[in-house]
Amino acid sequence: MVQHKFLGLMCWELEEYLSLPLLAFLAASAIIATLSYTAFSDPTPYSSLFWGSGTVLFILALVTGAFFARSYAGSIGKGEAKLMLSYPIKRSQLFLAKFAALFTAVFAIYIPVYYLHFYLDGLDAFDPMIFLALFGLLLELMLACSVAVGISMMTKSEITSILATVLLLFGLDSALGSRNLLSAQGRIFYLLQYFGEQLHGTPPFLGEPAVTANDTLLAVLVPIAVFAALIGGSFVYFTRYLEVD
Amino acid sequence: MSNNAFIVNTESLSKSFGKNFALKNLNLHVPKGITGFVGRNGAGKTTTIGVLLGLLKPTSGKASIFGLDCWKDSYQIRSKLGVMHETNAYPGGFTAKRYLEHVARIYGISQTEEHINAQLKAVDLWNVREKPIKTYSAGMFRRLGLAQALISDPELVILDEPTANIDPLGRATILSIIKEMNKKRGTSFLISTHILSDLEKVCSWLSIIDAGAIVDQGFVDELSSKYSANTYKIVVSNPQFLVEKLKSAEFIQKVWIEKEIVYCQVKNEAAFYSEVPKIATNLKLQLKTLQHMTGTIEEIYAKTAGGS
Repeated sequence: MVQHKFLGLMCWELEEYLSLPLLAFLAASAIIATLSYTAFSDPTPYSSLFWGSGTVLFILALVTGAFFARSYAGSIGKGEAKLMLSYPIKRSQLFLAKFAALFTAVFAIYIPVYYLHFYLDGLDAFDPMIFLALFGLLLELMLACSVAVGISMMTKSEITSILATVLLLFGLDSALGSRNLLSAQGRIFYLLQYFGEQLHGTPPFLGEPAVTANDTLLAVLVPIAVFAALIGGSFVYFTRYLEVD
Repeated sequence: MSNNAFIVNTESLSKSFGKNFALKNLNLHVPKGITGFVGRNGAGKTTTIGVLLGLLKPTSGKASIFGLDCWKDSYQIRSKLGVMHETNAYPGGFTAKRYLEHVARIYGISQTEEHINAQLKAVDLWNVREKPIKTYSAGMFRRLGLAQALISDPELVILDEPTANIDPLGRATILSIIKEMNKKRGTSFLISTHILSDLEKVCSWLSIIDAGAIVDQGFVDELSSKYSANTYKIVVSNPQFLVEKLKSAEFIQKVWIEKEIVYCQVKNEAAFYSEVPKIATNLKLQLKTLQHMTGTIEEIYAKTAGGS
C-alpha cells in the first residue's frame, strides 16, 4: 500500500510536469546544451568530453535549480503542499516522491542526450571515458538539486530559491575555475585525467597537470557529501518541523 | 455535553507566529452534524484549521479529532477527513477526472471509475470532466474542491470558505450538496466562513471565534434563544408614536426603531403583553404584529463577536 501510494505520487508529480510544457523544455535545453559547442583548443580524442561539458553543466545547473525550487519552494508557496498534506500522505512520501520524480526526469533526459552527442561525435559508444563524463554530470545533478532543495526549505519562495541556487552554483564555479576539483567542470577534468591515465597509460590531456587518486576521490566525495547533508537535512526538516501555512 | 461527545476538541490551544498570537487559549468543540465556524477575517479560522490538519504545530494546548492528537496522529486523522482549502491549488493542467483519479488512489479507493463518475455528477462537473482545471470558473473550483473532499466518504469534512467569491446559484448548489451528504451519508461538516447567511440554511451548531479565542458556541437554537431571550418585534401603523410612549414604560429595558419596526428589550414579559395592546389602542394605532424575536446567526454573531 505504502509503495503503491509512493508510485502514485511520483506519477502525479510527473504528470503535472507533462501537463505543463516543462519536460519538453527540459529536453530542448538538454539538446541545445549538448549541441552548442564546436571548437576545441585541445583536439585530443576526448576533447569534446571535457570542453563540451561546460555548456551542458551550465544549463543543467540552471534547469535543475529552477525545477527543484519550483517543486519544493513553489509547492509550499502556492498551497500545493498544503493540499497534498491534507490527504493521507506521509510527509516523507511526499518529499521522496517529488525528489524521485524530478531527479528521474532530469537524469533520464540529460544523460541520453549527452551520451548520444558523444557517440555522434565519433567516440566509441562503450568507451569507459564517456561513462566517466556521465558520472561527472550525475555528480553535478546531485549537487545542484540538493542545493536547490536546501535553499527551498530555507526560503520557501520559488523565485528566491531559483536565484539563490543558480547564483551560488555559477558563482562557485566561476570563482574556482575549470581545473579546480571542487568546480563542476574541474570534477570532470579530474575524473577523465586520472582514469584516462589508468586506462590508457597516459593522461588524455597531455598539456595539463597530472592528478592524484586522492584529489580525484575528493572531487567525487565532496558533491556526494554535500548531497547527503543537504538532502538529509531537508528531509528531516520537511518531515518533522515544516509548518505549512 | 461532555468532551467525549465532540468529534473535534481543542483545549487551551495557542498558536503564535513570532510574537503574534493567532490563537489564544482556544477551546473549540465540534459535535457530529454541520457546524458553522464563524469569525471575521483574521480571527484565526484558517490557523485553527491548519492546526487541526497537522499542518501547523500548536505553540501550547491540545487539539484532537476523533480523540487523536492533531500533530502526532495527523496521518491517521487525515485518512478519515476530507478537506477543502480556501486557496485554489489544484493542478491546472489536469482534467477534473484525472485529478480525482489521483486523489482516489491516494485514499486507496477501489472501483475508482464508478466512484469518480458519481462524484462528478453529484457536484455537477460531469459535463466539464475532460476539460483542464485551469479553465474552470470560481464556482467550478469550489465544486471540484467539494468533490475531492467527499471522494473518500469521510466521517468529517472541513471546508474553509466554501462559498467565497461565487454567485448565489453556485452557493445554493454547494449548500444543497452539503445538506444532502449530511442527510444521506451522515457526514459531519465543519464550515469556516464569514458569509453568515449561508450557515443559517445548513448548520445546527455554531462556534464563534474572535481574536483567536472562542467567544461562544452551542446549538444554533440555544444560542438563538440565549441572545434574543427578551427581545420583541412590534409592527404598528405609526411606530414613532409607540416608541415615544414605550421609552417611559417601566416594563421596557430598551426600545429602538429600525425600518419602521419597533424592537424592545423587555424587563417584565407579562406586563409587556398586557400593556402594549392597551397603549396602541389609546394612541389609536393599528397593532399588526407583536412577536418574540428568534435570533438569526447574524444577530448572534453581532452580539458575541461584535460584527456588524
